[in-house]
Order: sequence, then C-alpha cells, then structure tokens
Amino acid sequence: MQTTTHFTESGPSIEVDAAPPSPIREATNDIAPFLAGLAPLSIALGAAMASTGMNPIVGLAGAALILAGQSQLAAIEMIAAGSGVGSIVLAVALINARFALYSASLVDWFRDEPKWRRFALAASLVDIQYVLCGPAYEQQSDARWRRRYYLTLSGLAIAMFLGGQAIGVVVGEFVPAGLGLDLAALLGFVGVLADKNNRAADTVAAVLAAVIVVVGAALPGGMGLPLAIVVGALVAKKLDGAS
Amino acid sequence: MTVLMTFILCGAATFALRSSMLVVGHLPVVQNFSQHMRFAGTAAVGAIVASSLFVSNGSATTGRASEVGAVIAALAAARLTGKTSATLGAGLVTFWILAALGL
Repeated sequence: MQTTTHFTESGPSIEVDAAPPSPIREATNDIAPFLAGLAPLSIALGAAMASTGMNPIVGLAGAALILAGQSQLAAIEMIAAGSGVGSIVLAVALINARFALYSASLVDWFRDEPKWRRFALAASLVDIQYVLCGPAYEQQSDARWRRRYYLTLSGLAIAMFLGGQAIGVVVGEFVPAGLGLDLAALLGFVGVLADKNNRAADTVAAVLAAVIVVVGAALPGGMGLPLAIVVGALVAKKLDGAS
Repeated sequence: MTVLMTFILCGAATFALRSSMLVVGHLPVVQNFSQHMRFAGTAAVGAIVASSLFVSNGSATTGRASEVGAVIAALAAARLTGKTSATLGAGLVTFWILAALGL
C-alpha cells in the first residue's frame, strides 16, 4: 500500500493508492493463452526427438540449453541427418537472431538491476517475455515487481516446455500424425494478438510486420524476422505519436 | 558426447544473442532504440504468425489452406469470446476439418 501526501489550500490531504496486483498472479493470467498452445507444441517436439532415436536425457538437456522450439527442432533434424557441428550451431544462431533484438528491451526494463542479474534474466528470454513484459511494465515500474513478473513467466514457460517434451518422448509414438499439435502454439499467439489489437497502432505494427516478414523471406541470415519487428514497431510508434 | 557438445555450443550461441545488447546497452543509440520499441511485442507476434504460415525454407509461400483457415478461425474466436479455450478449439477444429478435406 502506498500513500501520497498532497498540500492544498485547505491543508494537507493524504491519498491511499491501491496496492499493485501480485506479479505472480498477473504473469500467470497473462501467460495462460501461451501455455495452452505451448503444451501440445512441446509434446510434438518431444515426439520428434524420440522419432530420431536420440537419447532422451541428452535431448531434454538440449531443450533446456537452447530454450527455443523452432531452432531446437532444426538442431534435432540436422543432428539426425549427420550435419557438422559448425553448421548446426550457425543454423541455430541464425534462427535465434531475433533474441539480439529482444535483449535491447532488457536494457530498458531492468535498468536499475545489477549487471550480473540482467545477464541471469537474459538466460530465459524468449518470445513470451518480449510480447508480455512491455505492456505489463507500462503500468509497473518497481524493479522487484518487474523481476518477479518476468521470472514467473520464465518458470511457467520452461516448466511447460520441458515437461511437455518429456511427455512427448514417452507418448510420442501414440500421437496420431496430422493432429496439428505444432499449430497450437501459433494459435496461442493469435489469441494474444487479438487481445492486444485494440489500438490502431497495434494493428499497424502487427500487419506491417507480417507483410515485411513474408516479403523479406529470402533475406540472408534469417534477418527478415528481426527487420519486420523493428520496422513494424517504429512505424507504429510514429503513428501513435502523431495521433 | 558429440550431440551433447553440439547442444552446449547451440545454447552458448543463443545465450550470446540473448545477452548481446546488455554488453553494449550503455550506448545512447541502444537506449534510444529500445525506447522506440513500444509496439515491438505486437509486431513480433504478427511477424511470427505470418512467418510460420507463409515462409518455408527461406522462401515465401502461399501457405497451407488448413493452417491459414485455422488461424483466421482462431482470430475470430479470440475477438468474439476473448477466451483461450475457444481460440484454440476453433483453430484446431477448423484445421482438422480442412485437413480432412485435403486442403
């Protein structure tokens, strides 16, 4: 509970501000659509891992080290195909190039945190934090609140990501092909997009980025995605500022 | 051992990307840049969804009708109901129907 004292002509008045919402509860509510989509995707990833004959302990360790489904799947397929270590690491780095863009937000979000803690927070940075933390942090500037919100998102996402894959390793062979499990994570994103798309600037950001990523599909190094995000965000900010 | 080492190197490369701007974050250009990224989250979702639907092996495609239809149905359900279960349900059911029709 925070109190603020104002001095007016009739004397001092004290306003009692409402306590900020629990960061853990807020994060849990906000991430729910993603988790609903991440669960089937993780099971599909585990099933894909099992189908290559990879040692499941090693595979799950890889999932924990990379923490990114698309690049993990690429690495699994390339390992199974006998690709060289250098080309696998390069492919993973290119697919994950967007994380360099995401890390710029960490500078802004955790400006008052010690450097070691910001590096620790960066270890679990994925799409979900990038999408959810910005809007949430517009309302909350307290460093501890922000850290707890972020870590709750990280913990829930990682638990679902690794737990789902462990289940997928075990039950993968019983899951019918063509069930569309890998589509579910995408649908989770769609749910959030529809929820956020209330301002004209949000719509512009999403649509413009979507067009650019398709038009720039052939750009080298997988740079179409980060470029689309930057241009979409900058144009939306410009429009929002103008209005 | 080689597979585990490959994953460790992949993880190290990804962590380097995740923390890259922390190293140069004190530069004014980075701080100025991050302050202009207010709508980047929404842009990222739009780009990720479009990339998943219409980009394959570095080339633009027309996308699979079953997946595009599923996303449109999910978007409509999310707009109308605001519920995750309805969003996922509408999307997956549409996908199954369209896939069964060979689309």
